[in-house]
Amino acid sequence: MTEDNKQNHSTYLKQFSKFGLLSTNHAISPTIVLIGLLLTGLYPLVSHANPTSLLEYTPYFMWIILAESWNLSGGYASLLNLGLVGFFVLGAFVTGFEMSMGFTLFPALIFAGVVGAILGFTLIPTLRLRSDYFAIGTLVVPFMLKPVVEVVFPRSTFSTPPSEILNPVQLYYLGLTLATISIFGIYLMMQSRIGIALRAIGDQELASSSLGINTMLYKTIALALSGFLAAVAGGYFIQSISINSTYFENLQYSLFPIFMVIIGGIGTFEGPIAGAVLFSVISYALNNSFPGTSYDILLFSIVIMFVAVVLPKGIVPSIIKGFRKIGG
Amino acid sequence: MSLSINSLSTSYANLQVLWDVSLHVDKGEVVSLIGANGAGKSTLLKSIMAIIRYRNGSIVFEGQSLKGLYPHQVVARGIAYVPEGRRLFPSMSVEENLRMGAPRKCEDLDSRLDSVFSLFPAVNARKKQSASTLSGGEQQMVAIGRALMTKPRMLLLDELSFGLSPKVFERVLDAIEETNHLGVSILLAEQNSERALEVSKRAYIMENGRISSEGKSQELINDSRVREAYLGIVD
Amino acid sequence: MDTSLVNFAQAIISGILLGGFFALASVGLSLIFGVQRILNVAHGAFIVLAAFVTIQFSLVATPSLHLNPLASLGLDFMLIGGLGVCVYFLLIRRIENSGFEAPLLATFGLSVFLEYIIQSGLGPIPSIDPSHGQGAQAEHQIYSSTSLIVGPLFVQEPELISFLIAIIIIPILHLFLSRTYYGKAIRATAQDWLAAEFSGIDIRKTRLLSFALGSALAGVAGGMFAFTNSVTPLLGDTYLLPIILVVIILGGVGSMIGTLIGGFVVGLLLSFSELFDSSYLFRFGFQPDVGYLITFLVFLIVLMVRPNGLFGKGVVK
Repeated sequence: MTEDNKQNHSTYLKQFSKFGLLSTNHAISPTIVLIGLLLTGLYPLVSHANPTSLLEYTPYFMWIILAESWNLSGGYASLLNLGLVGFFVLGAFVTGFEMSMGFTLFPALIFAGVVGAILGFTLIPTLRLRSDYFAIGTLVVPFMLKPVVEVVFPRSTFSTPPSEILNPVQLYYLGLTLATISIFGIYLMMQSRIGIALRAIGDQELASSSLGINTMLYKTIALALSGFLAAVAGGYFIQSISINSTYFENLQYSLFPIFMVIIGGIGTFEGPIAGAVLFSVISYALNNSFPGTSYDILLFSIVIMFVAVVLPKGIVPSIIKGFRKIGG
Repeated sequence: MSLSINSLSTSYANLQVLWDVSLHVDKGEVVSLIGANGAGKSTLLKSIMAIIRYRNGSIVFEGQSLKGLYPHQVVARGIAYVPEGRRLFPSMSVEENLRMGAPRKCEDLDSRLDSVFSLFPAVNARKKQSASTLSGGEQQMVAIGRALMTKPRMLLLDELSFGLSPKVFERVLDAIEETNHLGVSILLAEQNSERALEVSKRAYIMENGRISSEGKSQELINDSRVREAYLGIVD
Repeated sequence: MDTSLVNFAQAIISGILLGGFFALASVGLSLIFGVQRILNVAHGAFIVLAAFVTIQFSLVATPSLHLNPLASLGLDFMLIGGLGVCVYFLLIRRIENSGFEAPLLATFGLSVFLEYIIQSGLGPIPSIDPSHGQGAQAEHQIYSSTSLIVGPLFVQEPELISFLIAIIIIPILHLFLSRTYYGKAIRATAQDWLAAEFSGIDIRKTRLLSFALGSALAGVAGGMFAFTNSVTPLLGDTYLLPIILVVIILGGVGSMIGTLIGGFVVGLLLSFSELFDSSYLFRFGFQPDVGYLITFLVFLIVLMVRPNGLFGKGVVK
């Protein structure tokens, strides 16, 4: 074994043990998240809030699922997918179409997820590309999907059929359920062989391929599962709103999840959740500070630039690092 | 004294790689820095060039501290650097590579080029060729030439022998000695090289980020422990 | 002349002219991405901002000072170049070595910021929730009616001008990069920034120069955009950015002449795809953009087969 290989090997092992099952703070974050989700589930029961106000939470659940989806490919597998909006809107269209054909909600959602996963599979050839070229390639994908979808689903807007519209309480619990499934589905997956291989690839691609991990296979799995989740998020989103094909052109659905994952901590369990919560808190606060105006968008863009420049490693990781420093 | 380094410590993130390193190079001297791969030789040279920021200690060149400078400002102070692996500009011609070593406004550009070409006639023959088409030895010569185009008073050389046949390495070392005769101080980092010790007057041996011993090169060559550990010669 | 032959010739002319504009719009980002590996997603917003500067100029300065609207191109060059300088110092400088994501997010925030500024300078502010569509937008276009007619073929004058500007500016840029000291220093920085630094090149200067120059060129492209298109605030993201990325990758990142040819390829693909009879799709009530489908498909195929594009080596050579 050459000197270099030895070095790679030892860093690989170090990373491995960092994520290992015996790591001390391993069970703390999932427990906190589980309690948070339970409280979220109790909220409509104890708050006596006007059920319609529960509609406000729809985007937040959607953002959590999207952030989880992006963290899976972009965080764990280091695949910088800039075309998440393509999976998302495609999922919304497929769900709307299936439901208008008479399918019920859950089969339609699963079908949409499968279509999203298939879209992930079609991107396999791009996995060979250098990471920045992969990013550019995926950024263009939604713009390509737009004309395809316009031909396949020949109508201008999509929504769920009137008979299938959920009431706000159902919508709230649907979002909570889907968010919980994606959070803990990914959590459990990351404990499995797939997850350990993915983490190894994200940390040391060269080392892990030389250790016999089939990097292409695991990257494909990450991309397909990420596509599945993003499409399901789209299927959830279309339960509350009707959308058209120009949504494919909206970069924000691709980039806001990246923003969330980065501020929360890229490639970590709590990252996408903390990021989505932080994102929601910031946008809610800005929204309510300037009622009736759109200054919040302006301020939000400044927040994004500020975080990118001052805390490029994220808000939550910087706070954790700060605490560790104080604690010695 | 030309270059003097006092109790330098350097870290990458949380991993400390240099521990309390002190070293000096006198004016016109050739000093070699011997040590295994990963001993910290490259890190030391990169710290001098301000490519890596250091935490503690000082680096002083000709009486002035180099702290807080950018690499190109260190170059302007009179130190040039030939990195491990040469790092030429692959899509540029040999001549363009050399040109990049000289400052923008350079009145004696032609004489600088001529002195590089007279040092390395082989490079002159290939000056219009793209740098990526050269052999390893020629690339090393262009890398040294590019460094000399900055008109340095001190030259830092990292792993000159890397990928070179002993014959070509010999030719490159001759050029280095010739450069030294023109008054350029030289710090030569090499692993396992008896030849490096032979061309230098003094030497430092690095081990795990520390200077483990120093002395006259001739004495180190004769030291049986050094011979075994660093020169691969078992008596 | 036979109509199909006329259509064919017209498609070639339109495609080449359109391609010239695409190349002009892309060349600045190709320079920036080639030198710094920074994907400035606000590049489209830079172009749209310049387009609105030109529109304002033609509404305000042209009637009162009797200036040709084309004079605003110089203003666009200066203003967007100046914007590039500010953006470099405020956003890019601190994070240019910290990977791909941070500069991407920073420029994404910048594009949202600029789009807001453009929109609020133009009447009704659209819906504030990013999850909902964009509201009413002002549409402006100037100068588009003049056309030159040669037999059965016609050429819109502003398209011809933007084509001419592209085929003049891009070779000049190529010469700048290959012949002058600063140009070579920019190429050296692109190929190996660390080697450039210890060759004595101040890479902060060369990066600032390439970012400012790349932005200024987006300004010129934006000025021309106002002459040939109805400009709405979000066109930068929804139309220009994807096309620009396709042009850059097709031509090869950092190759200026490659970008010019990449522009022509995309222009021709789009104009030729209009020749196909897609009227059978009208029964669905609207016409999908088959041209974009073909263009992006060609792009993805080229990306697979030649990731460095038709002419590029991945950096400014």
